[in-house]
Amino acid sequence: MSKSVVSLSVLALAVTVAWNATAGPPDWGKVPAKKIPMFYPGQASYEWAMTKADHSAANQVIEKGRGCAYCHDEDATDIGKKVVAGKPVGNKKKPLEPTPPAGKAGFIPVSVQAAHDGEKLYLRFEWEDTNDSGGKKLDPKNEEKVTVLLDAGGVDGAKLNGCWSTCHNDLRSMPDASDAAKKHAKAKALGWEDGVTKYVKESRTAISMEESPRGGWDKLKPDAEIDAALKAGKFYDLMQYRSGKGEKPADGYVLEARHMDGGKSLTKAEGKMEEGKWVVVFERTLAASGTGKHKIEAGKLYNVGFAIHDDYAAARFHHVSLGYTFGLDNPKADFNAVKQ
Amino acid sequence: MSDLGRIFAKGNSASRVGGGILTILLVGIALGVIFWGGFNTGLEYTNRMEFCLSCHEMRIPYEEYKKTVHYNNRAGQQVTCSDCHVPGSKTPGDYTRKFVRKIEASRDVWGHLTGSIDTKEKYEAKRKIMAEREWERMKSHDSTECRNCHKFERMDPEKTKKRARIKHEEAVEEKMTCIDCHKGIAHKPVHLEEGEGESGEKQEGESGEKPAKPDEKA
Repeated sequence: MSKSVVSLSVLALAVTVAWNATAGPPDWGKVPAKKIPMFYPGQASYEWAMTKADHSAANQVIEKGRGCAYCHDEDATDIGKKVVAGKPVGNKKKPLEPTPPAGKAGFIPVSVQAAHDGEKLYLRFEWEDTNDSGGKKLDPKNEEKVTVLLDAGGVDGAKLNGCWSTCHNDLRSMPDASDAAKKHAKAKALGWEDGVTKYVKESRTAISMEESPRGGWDKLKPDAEIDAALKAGKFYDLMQYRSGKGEKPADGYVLEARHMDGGKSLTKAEGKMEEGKWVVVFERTLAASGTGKHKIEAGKLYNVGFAIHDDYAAARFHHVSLGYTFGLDNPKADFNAVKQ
Repeated sequence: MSDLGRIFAKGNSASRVGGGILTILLVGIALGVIFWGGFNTGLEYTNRMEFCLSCHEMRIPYEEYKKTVHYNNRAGQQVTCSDCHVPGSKTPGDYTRKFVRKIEASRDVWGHLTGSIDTKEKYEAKRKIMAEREWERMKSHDSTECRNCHKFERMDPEKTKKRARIKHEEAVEEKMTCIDCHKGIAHKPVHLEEGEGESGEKQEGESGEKPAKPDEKA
């Protein structure tokens, strides 16, 4: 073999070794973990949370720019317990869950870790498995799903409410859900086979906050305006892990509906349950590839919300986090992904 | 001898008059003390819960109150009907309001005699009016009855729930009064029944449940 070929091979090997030494999932033992409560929200929609008659602090959210965690970081678990049991909550003291799912946890404490290696972002979720409630399996294929919704500052309210800006009173399984949605002209295109999916108000011409039916599922903006919103970053980047065998993770976004594909940034979403603990790790490129993806870069603060569809849950029967900030090497962020 | 001396000197008609005046004065003072003391004792008697409950109509709000933290709590503090519904005697202003309240309460006697709320149905029909009357009365003197025991400045931040702390800070800032938010504390929260948008929140205590459980915060 010629000297140049040998040298080239050695160089290639050295680069590969060096590359693998720095890239790849971090040593999670060295990444700080933050434990957050993920609680059962019932039918508490964005419209509900932003109306003073239902939620006495709604005016403070608007006037003082107070995020959910400002008041609720200590009592989210209590709220979850009450809601899941169908107990009255809120300003009107009414149950937010009309069909309390027996045996379901009110809250799940989850440990979240974030790290990056300059090329990829790694998010790790760990929690203790809740007891199988034995209730109806709304999603029989997936015992667990974990979703991350990420906003880059384009969605109104995301800074304060995490992913609540996607949750409306007229989504499927919510109080003002409309049967007409399944027959809508765009039902197939938008994935409304079971009813309306998450959307943000940037895709609607109007949202009814207090007057029933609350929400604005059918007040779609013209396609051109929705495309413009997409280009302007007014959407939530979506990643979802699905535990079912053969189930592929979702790499999509939420704008005028929930799109479960179109993204090309999620490289891995894996999880397993061992010794009573679930561990789920997401791996995605910092660069934004595909449709509906946000580029993740240092010096910026993103808004993030997490959800766990626990125990074969679907739709609103999930456990959610309050709104948090996320950043890359940004000590101001609630979740700071540090370079490993 | 001076005139004054003559009055008090023994053995003359002037002294008999003086002695008489003194006797009348002393008897008058004694009667005054007995009357004023007796009057106020009687007034306090009408503040006792047993007195309130002597009208059967009051059994309805009583049974509701028994499920709340103001009836049963960890430290055994008991707040009775008059503690909330009758002004106290801590200040002359309060005392005057108590007096006026007692006069107003004579209407309750008339109501009892005419059977105004003597059945459950009649009571429920008038519940909202009675509640609104009380809320207005409490608001008119800045929830003094609440503040006789509960003071913003004495709420220990380390023992208060964060959400309560934030709400009370707002209340102080916005110069709100206790009854603005804490309606339905001891009786059925009638303000919630029609789904009104008024800011009203039942103070649930640590457990937030009925029947009454030990109040961990008390």
